[in-house]
Amino acid sequence: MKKIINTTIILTGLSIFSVSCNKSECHECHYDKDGAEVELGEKCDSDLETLEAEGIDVNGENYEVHCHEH
Amino acid sequence: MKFYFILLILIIISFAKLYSQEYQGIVIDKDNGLPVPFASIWIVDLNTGVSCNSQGRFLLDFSLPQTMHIKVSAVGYTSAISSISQNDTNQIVLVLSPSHIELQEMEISTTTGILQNYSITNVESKTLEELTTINTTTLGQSLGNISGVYSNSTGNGINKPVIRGMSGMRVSTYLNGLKIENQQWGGDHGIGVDALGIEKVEVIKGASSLLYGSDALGGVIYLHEEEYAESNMFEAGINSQFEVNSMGFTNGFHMKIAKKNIRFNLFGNQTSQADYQVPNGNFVFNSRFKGQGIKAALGMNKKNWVSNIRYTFVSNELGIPGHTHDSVPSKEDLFKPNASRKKTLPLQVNSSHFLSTDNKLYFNKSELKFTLGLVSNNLEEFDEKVTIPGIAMKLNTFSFNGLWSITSWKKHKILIGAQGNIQTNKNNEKAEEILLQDLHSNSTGVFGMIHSKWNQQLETQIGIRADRNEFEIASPSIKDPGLTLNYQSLTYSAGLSYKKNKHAYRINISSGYRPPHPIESLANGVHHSSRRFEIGSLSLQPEFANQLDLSYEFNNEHIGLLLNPYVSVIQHYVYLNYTDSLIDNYPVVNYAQNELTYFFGGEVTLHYHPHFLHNLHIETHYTYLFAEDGQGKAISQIPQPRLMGLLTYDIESKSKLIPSSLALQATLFGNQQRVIENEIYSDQYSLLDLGASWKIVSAKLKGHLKIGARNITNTNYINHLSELKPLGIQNPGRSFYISLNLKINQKTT
Repeated sequence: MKKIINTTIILTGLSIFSVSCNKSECHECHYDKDGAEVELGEKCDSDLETLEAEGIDVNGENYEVHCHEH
Repeated sequence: MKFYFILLILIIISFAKLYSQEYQGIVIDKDNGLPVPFASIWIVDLNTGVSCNSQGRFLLDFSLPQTMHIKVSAVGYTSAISSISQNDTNQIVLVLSPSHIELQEMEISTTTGILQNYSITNVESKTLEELTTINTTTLGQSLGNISGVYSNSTGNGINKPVIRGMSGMRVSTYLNGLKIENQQWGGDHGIGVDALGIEKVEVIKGASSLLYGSDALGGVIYLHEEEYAESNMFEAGINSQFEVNSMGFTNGFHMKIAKKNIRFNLFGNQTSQADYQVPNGNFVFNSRFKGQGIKAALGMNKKNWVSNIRYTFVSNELGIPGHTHDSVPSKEDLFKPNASRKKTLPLQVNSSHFLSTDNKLYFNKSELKFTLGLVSNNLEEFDEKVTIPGIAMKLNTFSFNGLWSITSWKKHKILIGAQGNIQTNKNNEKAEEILLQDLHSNSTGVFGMIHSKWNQQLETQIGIRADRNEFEIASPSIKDPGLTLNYQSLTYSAGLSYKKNKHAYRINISSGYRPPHPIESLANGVHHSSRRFEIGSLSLQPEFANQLDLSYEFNNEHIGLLLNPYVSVIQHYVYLNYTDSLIDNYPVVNYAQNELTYFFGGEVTLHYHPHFLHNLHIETHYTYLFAEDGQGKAISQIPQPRLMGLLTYDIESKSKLIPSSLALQATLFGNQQRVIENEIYSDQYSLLDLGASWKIVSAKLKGHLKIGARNITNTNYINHLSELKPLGIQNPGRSFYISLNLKINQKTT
């Protein structure tokens, strides 16, 4: 019986953990300039969020950044 | 308020007669009077049971309600259901009739609470095991194997059930008594739950269910969660499935434990599918998806009180195929030479928490059942940015459902009930756009029904329901935040069933009513995953349906035949009208209405088990639907006629290498030429699936291994209900699969 209760607790804990853990998110980013894509490399988490929200300033001009596969 | 609510429950409990007794019993063979060893004794009311010993004897030594339904079954016998009352003797003798095959198992319908044989409407009931004789990728695909039910799909991951040509808000889906509310208005918003912990599905077709709301004009899908373990038993298991076509896997586990008066179930799973492959070898870009879920249920009973607390969490990350970053997609954008499972755009993230408690109290001549539930759904659609959603909404729904069944009279059973919900929809400020405003809504319905059993042949049922719906706009972003929409309705259902010998006849007339959903009234924005700009209309009228449903059933030991024609007339049928305009490169669609829309159709089911070949089992069904508006014009997205046949053969062999059963499924879809302007017609096509299954049986371990292939001829086709049809994106090509399911059982004491 003790074994069964322990199994129950472990399985419950594992299942809650597996659906709630937060994994790091990274994507390849780029912006479009003069009809060409300028690659920015892989950006993760807060860097990714900031780039998408604020864009990137290049030579005083702000460009919209896209971070997804084509 | 809380205090009065708790007080009310305590008063109700105190009025219930609280006493119980112990039962001993035996199961015997009707023909020779000998005991039937190892028969299963299932207490329907508690979702648990016990097994008989080798002498056919059993003991029910736990707290039992005053009246209960016992289902008894054994290999080689026709199952039976008996109603036992505590006024009866505590010595139970249950009798089983020998039969080498059981075409139609005896069951009490969860949706009606009445023996299915005596229901005045045809309730289709299938176990998930039956629906996955040939494995499927999702629950939505499994539901598409039921006669009269189709699956509307956006790739592999998003499936919506379609009953008699209707889906979305016209189909209500229930998860053990709790209505699933997950922004189901969207054509690309799937059913929202997967097969995790689901045992059985019941389908009520058409607008005939007063118990489950008047707005289910298409029908009701009731998902019945897995039963608890037998009393004093522990069960644990794992399951795993791999599909070659999408390199997809699903892994899960379950655990069940049951003591005398308390029971607990736990399930968990995880799935990941890459892009699927079409017959020419290319892969559909971004048809990938992944998901995970957990499910728990706790059941308790004390004398005349039975209670269950259930929780489910489902989260899915679904790629939306058929879209690109460019405004005009090319074939090179839609298909790729390689598959991937990496997250990309566009993307739909849909997660839901379902929490409910259902309680049943048993009185002298009546039963009271009440369910309280909370559904919290979070929907985010990402179109241009991976961290900033295009739209994001949180829909919280609190619902209640009370049903009082009175059996004070010998011939009549009276059902009185109330149902309702309070709902809030809130947009996330982080989202780029608002498609549907913030709003509050509340709905209440009351109903009464009388089910009468006049004699062994004739049963009738008549009922009436009143509903009230109110929607209040709470968003500060629109000009009139105080706008309130009110709707009221009265609907009915009446019918009879007549059984004579092996023949059963049913006739049912009923009505349904659906007020316009706020999305239909208020939409004004881009629906990213549908790639269109939707505009609602405040002048829409509620839909009102009248349905006539007839059925004839013949059953003997070897043949089961069902004919189920129907006609349904819907006033103010709402549809999406594509205009020539574009906003931000998205086509503009308006919500519009037809004055009258007619649906004629039917289902034919034949179940044949030849006497000369007992191991062979043939099941076939045909579904047909014709629909047009008041001017005789076609209606969009009407399913193709479908003939589906499943042939299974059980092999008796001692060799472990030889499969225990083989299955062949053939499906023929007829053409659909009746289409609206700009809708593409569909040609006929046929699909062939094969499967083999090995039973695994040892002293402690049970399970099965399944290997098979869907679309084995690699047929190139696009189903008429595929959302990807306008883009010419095919359904999956040939797909091999393998699955393994293992479980152990042991006594807890």
